Amino acid sequence: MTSSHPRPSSRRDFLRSTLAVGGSFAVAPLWRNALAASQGQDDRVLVVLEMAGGNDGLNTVVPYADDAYFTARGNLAIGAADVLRIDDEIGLHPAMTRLKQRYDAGQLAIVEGVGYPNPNRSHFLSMDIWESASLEGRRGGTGWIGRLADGLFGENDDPNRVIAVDKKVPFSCEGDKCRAVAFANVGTYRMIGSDAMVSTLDSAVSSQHVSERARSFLRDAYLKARESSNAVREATGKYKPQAEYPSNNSLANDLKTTASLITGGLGTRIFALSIGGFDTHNNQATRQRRLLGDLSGALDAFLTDLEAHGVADRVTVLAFSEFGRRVKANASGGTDHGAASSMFVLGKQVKGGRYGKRPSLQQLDGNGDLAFTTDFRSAYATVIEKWVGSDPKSVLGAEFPRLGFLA
Amino acid sequence: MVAAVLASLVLLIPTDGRAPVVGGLEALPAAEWSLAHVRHLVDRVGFGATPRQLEELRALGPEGAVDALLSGLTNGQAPASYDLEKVGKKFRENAMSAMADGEPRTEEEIAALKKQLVKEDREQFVDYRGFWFEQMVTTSDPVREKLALFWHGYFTSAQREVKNSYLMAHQIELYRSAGASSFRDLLHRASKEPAMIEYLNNDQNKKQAPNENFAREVMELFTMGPGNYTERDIKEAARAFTGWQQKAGEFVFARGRHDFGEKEFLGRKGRFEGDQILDILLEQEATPRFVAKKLFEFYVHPDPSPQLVDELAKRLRSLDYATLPFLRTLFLSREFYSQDAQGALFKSPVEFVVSTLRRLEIDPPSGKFLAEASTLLGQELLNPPNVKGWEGGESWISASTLLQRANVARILVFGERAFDREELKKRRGSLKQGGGKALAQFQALRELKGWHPELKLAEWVGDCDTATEAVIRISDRLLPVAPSKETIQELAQYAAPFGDDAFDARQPETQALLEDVVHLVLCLPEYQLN
Repeated sequence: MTSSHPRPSSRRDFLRSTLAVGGSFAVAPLWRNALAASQGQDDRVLVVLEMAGGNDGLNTVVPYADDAYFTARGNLAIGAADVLRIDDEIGLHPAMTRLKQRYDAGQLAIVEGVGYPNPNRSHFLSMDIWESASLEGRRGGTGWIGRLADGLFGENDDPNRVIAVDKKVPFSCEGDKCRAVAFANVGTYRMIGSDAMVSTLDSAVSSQHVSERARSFLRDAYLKARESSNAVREATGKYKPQAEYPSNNSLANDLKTTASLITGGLGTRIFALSIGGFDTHNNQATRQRRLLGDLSGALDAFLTDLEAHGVADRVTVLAFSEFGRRVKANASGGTDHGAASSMFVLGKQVKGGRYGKRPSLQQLDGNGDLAFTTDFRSAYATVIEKWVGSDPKSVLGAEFPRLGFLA
Repeated sequence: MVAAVLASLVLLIPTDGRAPVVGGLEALPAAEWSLAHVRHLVDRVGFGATPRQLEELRALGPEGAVDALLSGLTNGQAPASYDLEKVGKKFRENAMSAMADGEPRTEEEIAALKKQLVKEDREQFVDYRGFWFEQMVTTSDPVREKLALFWHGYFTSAQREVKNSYLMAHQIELYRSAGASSFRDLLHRASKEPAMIEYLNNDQNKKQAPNENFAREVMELFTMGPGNYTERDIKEAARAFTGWQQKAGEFVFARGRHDFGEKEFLGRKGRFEGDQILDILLEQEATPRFVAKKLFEFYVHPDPSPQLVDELAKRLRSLDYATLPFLRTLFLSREFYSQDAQGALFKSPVEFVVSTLRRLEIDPPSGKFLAEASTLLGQELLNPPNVKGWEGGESWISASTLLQRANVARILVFGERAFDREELKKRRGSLKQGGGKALAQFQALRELKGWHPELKLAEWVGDCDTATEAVIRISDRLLPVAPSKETIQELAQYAAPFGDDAFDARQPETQALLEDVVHLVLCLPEYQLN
């Protein structure tokens, strides 16, 4: 059962060295030094936000001047008088007042007509395509953030380079070498016990030689969790939010957690977050109003907080959904699964404005859905190159035209 | 005959460490039956067992043990059921009083009434979920509950969207009472469950404007799986399901909303109705493959070879989807007990909570607490994350849920004392990990007032002469696979800080340390396996 594997884990040694001083952190983690040396300009943070369920892009970025929109959407249509007008063609959903202000301040890029060839209308398969950045979905093997992190950090031992502020690690963050840690709440991200109990467990796990896949997966997960939780606790101990985050808004909570980690100097480069509930087959008007209001309020508070902490220039947010929705409303006051949608890029370094191309409401695809005009991987490529400073082709496997939302 | 000989030859050839595919469904010979097999069987088909129960099952041989475990399902006995009639009555009364009951109401009154209904529904929901957890922990028929858990993740619905505790309870009671009936029967019944109708919006699917949600998911998640149908098939099937509705917790067919016209579905033309669409789906090659693979992955291991899936599908089809004999074949098969299968799954949060209590042989805390503990670990029963249920496998283990498992294990071993500072201090060393703020996050602890689990340590290890012996005894009782030598050593050192000479399992001080050892074992990577 056990194998004669060499002991590969410097993580174990790290744990030993910190535990030797009674669980306090007198010994700086090894990777901190490496980080300090390599950081330089590379302290930029990317926040990737999934709007799960298929957000109706058409009622988010509303083509209020297009008659075809009102014909197709009937009662669900948002009128010219209600939209938050961007220009003569489009306006934002009326619940997005805060993000409209960010747009006016030149910090919000709207990318229209985003999708990919032969759209898949299954939530899971389409999200797999977005998360893998491959039309093959999971068969592609790894997630795009995982591949990006593999290239950036290689064998670097710091488990907190990529964090999913979520209950679990999304597929996007699974690389060959990199696997993100996931936690939704800093307060409970710790193991409670006496020092003796905790250090016995640390030793019992770190001294294991295991080769079976499930066991070594668990052993690594345990050691990573312990190291990560110690560092997270240390980093966030002094955080005080400098913005009023909206209450009853789970995204706001997650973004607050994200802000505490960024301002605490944890050195995380990529955060993965999600907000669910966009699968509005019925009662869409009420549900989407709440969701987009939550989105808008949470993101604005996040940016305000980062500004007050003086770190807003280091952070860019990319928000998208796995697909848009059918152009014609259904009879339940909702919309069924569709194809192309719109996405947002937000940040102080973002060149605000409209990107991509608004899909035609006259020339729909065979299913009555919006045909995509802009491959989502163009947005990824832009962020990978212009923000993260890595090579898009090595992550995406092919070249995609860049969009202009980052200099 | 030749095939069998070949199969056994292949079994002897060490390849890449994986068990051979040939003969995967062949029965495990009784001669090979061991205690390790029994343990594996009970962990997988139920929620673990005590050493005595394992010994009893071992004595029965493989067929005897499997049949004994399945007997609750085969003898037609009904499970302890929740008083749905009581819930149903309340539900209808609520619904009726919410509607116009003749009295004029102000807007405030209506709002107050709605709030009251939501509150009552929430209470009833929590009560039902607690009931199910208590069943899982105390039942003498755990196989039934495990299977119901499978169907809950398969034909799933969420209270978050259904917003009706009666409908949710009704659906789970279907899986508890009829989970072992044929898949053919279950597909039809699950599709007409009021909770499903609500969850996948079929109540809004009508001729004038079809809602595709149910039609899509019935193909993607319940029968064929993705890649076997077109968008057009979805649209056509959606037309056939128009008019399937629920009224006050009963399935109704609303003729006026139904599209009686001709449909073209999977290459066939006809005036298909919803039931016919389901039957056509059951005839498709892809369906038994999909269903059999899902069952296999839940019970056996995550990587069945394509050939094995073919074989499983063939078996399920030849049984005309009879679930029970299919499971019996599976539970007796070589593949089920192969190296590929042993310790290859991860305990789900529900399995973690339920099987820990069963293994520890302690009186369980309230079902309400167990539900909250499971939620903390990432599985909120009756509220799956999405229409696909729970992803399972490695996704159960994140950095945070792994640490939470240790914390929940602490509660299950120590009860109300779990986070008592003084208690922690007594146990060697000061308390550095955690603090009041962290503890406040364990809201579920409120449910623990007065709960003092008592481990039967004297009975388990009272006769052990050394700490190592005691640690092995404890880990043998709890772990699905043997821990490494190093792990045993670390734990033994903890249990006997002054060496084995000073070890006396009957001393209260030693027993306190052994309680900690029990907790430590539950935190080990090995314990998270199944």
